[in-house]
Amino acid sequence: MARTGGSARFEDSEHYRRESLGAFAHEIRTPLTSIKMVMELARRQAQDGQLVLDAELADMLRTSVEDLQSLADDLQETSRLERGRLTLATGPCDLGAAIAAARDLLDGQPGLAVEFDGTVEGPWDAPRLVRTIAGFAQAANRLGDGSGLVRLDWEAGSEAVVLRFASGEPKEGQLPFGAEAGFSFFRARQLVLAMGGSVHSARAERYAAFTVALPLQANGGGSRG
Amino acid sequence: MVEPMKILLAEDERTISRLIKQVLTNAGHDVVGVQSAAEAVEQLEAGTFDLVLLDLNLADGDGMRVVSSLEQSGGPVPPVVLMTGEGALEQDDPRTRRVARVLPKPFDLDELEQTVNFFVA
Repeated sequence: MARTGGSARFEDSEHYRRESLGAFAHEIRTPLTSIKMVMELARRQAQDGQLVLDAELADMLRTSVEDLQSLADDLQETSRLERGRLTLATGPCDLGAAIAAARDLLDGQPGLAVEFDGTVEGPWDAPRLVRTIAGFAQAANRLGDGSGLVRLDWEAGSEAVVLRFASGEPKEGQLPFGAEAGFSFFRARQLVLAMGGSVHSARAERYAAFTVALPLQANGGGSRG
Repeated sequence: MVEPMKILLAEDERTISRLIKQVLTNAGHDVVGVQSAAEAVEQLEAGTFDLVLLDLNLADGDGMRVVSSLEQSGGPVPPVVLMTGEGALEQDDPRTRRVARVLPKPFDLDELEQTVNFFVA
């Protein structure tokens, strides 16, 4: 039986929600592992008559707690976006500057090979757009060829600017998108939808591409793919 | 005193990597740390290891790529311990058949040491 447009969108939405929760559960286990190990090391050091928590272990603990805090903040924000309870700070935002800031944020992990020439400005939430671009780049690298370099090109139309993130060479077939995309991907996708844009994803063996449309007018209301 | 092993550790989360390396080095093992699947494959092609501690979800892709590379190498394959943030894998998960052990995160030092000590000759 063919799916209607509405039910297809609902099923897609449910799929992404389930997978984003899986990704979140996955990612909190990493800082939890650090915390468990640091606590045990501190206990052993105390038994040996050493400092209970030396400076290095304290730094590790702080980093892990900050990672947990950041994940909790992202989850809360994503939840508020889904419920329409978050007002984005939209305003004139320069795409080139946002991409440059995303490159700085990524710090080469992965690198972004950008084909960008010209100026495009849109009604976007600049700080969130920066993290959105970084999130798509990380997911493309993780799901694509893992080379550490993601291609990004763009094309401006009359209603939207389309960004294309790609890693690896296009192949036949379509692999499903699951939790392995990472929580930052699901957060980035939700932010684009909240800005009235759309996201289309393609994945094959060692290949991943995201086509992200951002409206050039406020309340652009793009399709939710 | 345990028999020292040469261990390849592929983990891209720096705090966990530092902690594991510290603990296993203190236990007398020789630990080579890498942060990506690509680096892990390079190390395995260049040298011999007694054990591989492999994170499933590395920044440059699925850690199982490293297992596939080992399987295709034709040479002796060291036991692989798969560290996974997915928690305990399902019993019928095919990945469990391709590795020696699965170590679900979050694990603590005792679980890590018991797992590694299992492979000490």
